[in-house]
Amino acid sequence: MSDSAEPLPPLLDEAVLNQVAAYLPAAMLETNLHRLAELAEALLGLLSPGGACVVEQVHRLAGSSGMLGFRRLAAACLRFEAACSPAFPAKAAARAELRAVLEATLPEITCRLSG
Amino acid sequence: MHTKILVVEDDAIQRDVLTRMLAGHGHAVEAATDGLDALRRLRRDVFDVVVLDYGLPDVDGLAAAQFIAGFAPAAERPRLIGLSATPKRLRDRPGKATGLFDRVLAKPCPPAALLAAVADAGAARPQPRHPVPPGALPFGSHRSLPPIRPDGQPGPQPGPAPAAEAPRVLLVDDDPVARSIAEAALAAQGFVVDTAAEGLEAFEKIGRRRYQVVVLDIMMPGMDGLAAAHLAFDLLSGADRPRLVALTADPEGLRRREAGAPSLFDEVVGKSAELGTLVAAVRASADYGQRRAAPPPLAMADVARLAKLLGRPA
Repeated sequence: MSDSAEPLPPLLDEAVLNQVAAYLPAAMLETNLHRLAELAEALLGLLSPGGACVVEQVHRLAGSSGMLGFRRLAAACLRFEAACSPAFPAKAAARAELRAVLEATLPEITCRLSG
Repeated sequence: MHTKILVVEDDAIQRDVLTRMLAGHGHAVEAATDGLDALRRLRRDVFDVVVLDYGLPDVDGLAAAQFIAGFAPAAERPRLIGLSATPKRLRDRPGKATGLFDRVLAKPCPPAALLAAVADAGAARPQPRHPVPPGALPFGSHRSLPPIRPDGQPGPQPGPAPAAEAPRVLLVDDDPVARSIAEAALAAQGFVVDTAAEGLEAFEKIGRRRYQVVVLDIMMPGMDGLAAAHLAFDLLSGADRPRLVALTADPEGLRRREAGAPSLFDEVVGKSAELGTLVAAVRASADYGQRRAAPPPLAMADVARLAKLLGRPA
């Protein structure tokens, strides 16, 4: 999915999510997972081929998903954000990668929410 | 009537054209390249009119206008002329843009329209003002930030410092998910946590009380975290200046932006790091030696709910 030789981060880093769960009441964790799912779904709708670079939404999702342990999504968001700079040639590839990671991550979030 | 004007425009071509055009009509003109540069110039000097591009990096035109309006008394405030490629965007943000700008002009702006707006604004200036004394905050008789004396020593404090065992932390992040998680983690470790959703709100809170640590997201709309850090260094010194922790989705990006300069941040924490990293960074920054217990025990109802969220059997 990524051109780099770096190993792909895990879809979900359980250690990060576990630490969040240690600090947050369950209701708050659930609310934040819902928010993350909403952000991810909204972004998926905006990522049409040839569409605009939605940098603000992507950056926000990078932070939210990273804090909840969804590291692959956070990394894909940052790559897409970098790809939105005019000098970056592989915008379409970064968009496709982000779409794929979003589609893989959303079921994982839903799974956590539905138990 | 000749007017002292500050042109704030990040695009070099437009900045040059505007500056030369206004100077050619006899006005005294200075140019700033971004919002932070503009705010720094406004601290040093008196301007009658500020021509402010909306789409600026670091501190955008609207945030700069809010900063000026928030901290400068009405009688001492320069007149603001906004320039925007999409003026509707400004008008569509009620409560933010309303009343901040004397005029908003669409870009590209015909010279005659800008000159007329400057003439109107210059004529409307209430009184010639006294220059801002060196070290004063931020534009003369400010509303709330504690003054810094010219010798760099802190001025009178806005209130007593919080108890030593409960360092006060201001957490600034526009993302409600990141904010609520970081707030809960820091509060669980015994910090007294206030939150702000943007840079301007952070400065309003910093003006009201002293914080040991300010945790700053970097990419925020309006005033970004790096610009807020620069302003904190400009406006606060000594014990008034909190230690700064960056909490960012992109630590490498921040390092690139700070390349070649000493970092303004005591610690830089990635949002993908475990929360313990943030807690440790804030604790180190607050010189918080006393170890706290682990997070408070969970209620039984929470245990089952958490087990479900974590994908484990209850």
